[in-house]
Amino acid sequence: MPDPTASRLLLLACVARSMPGRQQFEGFVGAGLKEVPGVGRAQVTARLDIGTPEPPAGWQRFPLVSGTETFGVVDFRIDDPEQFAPYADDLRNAMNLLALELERRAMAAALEDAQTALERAYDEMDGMAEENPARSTRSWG
Amino acid sequence: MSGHAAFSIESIQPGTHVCYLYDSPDQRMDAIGRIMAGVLANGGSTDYFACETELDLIHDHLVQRGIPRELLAEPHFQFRDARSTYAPGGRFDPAAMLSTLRRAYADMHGKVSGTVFFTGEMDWSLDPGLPGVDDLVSYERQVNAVVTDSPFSAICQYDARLFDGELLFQILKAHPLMLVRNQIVPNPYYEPPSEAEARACCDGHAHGHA
Repeated sequence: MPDPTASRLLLLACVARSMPGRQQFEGFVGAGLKEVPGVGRAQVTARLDIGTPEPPAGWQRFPLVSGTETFGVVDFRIDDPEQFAPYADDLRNAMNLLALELERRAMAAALEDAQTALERAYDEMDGMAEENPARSTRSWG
Repeated sequence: MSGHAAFSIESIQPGTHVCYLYDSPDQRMDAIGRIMAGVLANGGSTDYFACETELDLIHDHLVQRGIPRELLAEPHFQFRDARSTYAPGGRFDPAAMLSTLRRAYADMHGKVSGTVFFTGEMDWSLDPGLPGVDDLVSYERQVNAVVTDSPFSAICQYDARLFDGELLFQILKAHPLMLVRNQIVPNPYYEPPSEAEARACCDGHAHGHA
């Protein structure tokens, strides 16, 4: 039977997109990554906090890096390094896919914030125009 | 479960047990509606166990997909309350639910020519303190044993906004197939039922649960 690890990691990155909240994302992805041979535990931190504490001794940290930014980290407790070694590169690729998803979310949130700010600014200008129509006419030319 | 047709959303094949993790009602209705329309158009039956979705919404969706209204009635179409189906009397009993599925399959199998399809919204399993709900993952695994002798198709709908991420992963592992972005794909994380689970499931069948 072929080794399912690479296809598992692909599916994990794909299904992780359906996890709407950060906690669900972290719990789901952490449980999936724990299935990689040799891994005893996987702890996902899907946020940009600079202050994420260092992993305990003996754990390995993989950053969730897209092309431009780091969106968090995954800390692995490797129980069997020999068993784990062949999958390290597959895991890095999966980390990249997961980081791209976090980047997509960050961009969507930034766009939503910008939209909200724009709507607020528009409402304020609209209010000012109602209060002072003459000035408003001059402003808008 | 071989060949590409087994994984086509428009023609779900008998004996398939699919996990669907979704994060919006519209996304859910679109995916499940396509599948139900495919089943009905191909002479099968659909049985929907609902927590949240209303009957009218499903009817309207299927009509928009071109399903004639005469197919939106028994024996082709059934709609039930999920809570009283999965947990009658306020208790979830996996063996009893598996028997319900077996009976419903046996009943429908003789009445329709196509796939007998069940789908359930699983929000009921989050009701606080519901007895028996700790056996949910084991139940999901046992469904895989049941579909070998009662080859219905089933899609279990889990709202990812409501469930814990780790639990969702355990649930995912109990399903051989997944519905991802309107495609049914094999699940490489799938773990079949243990011997004990398969035996318990068959024992329940033999002792009259079904």
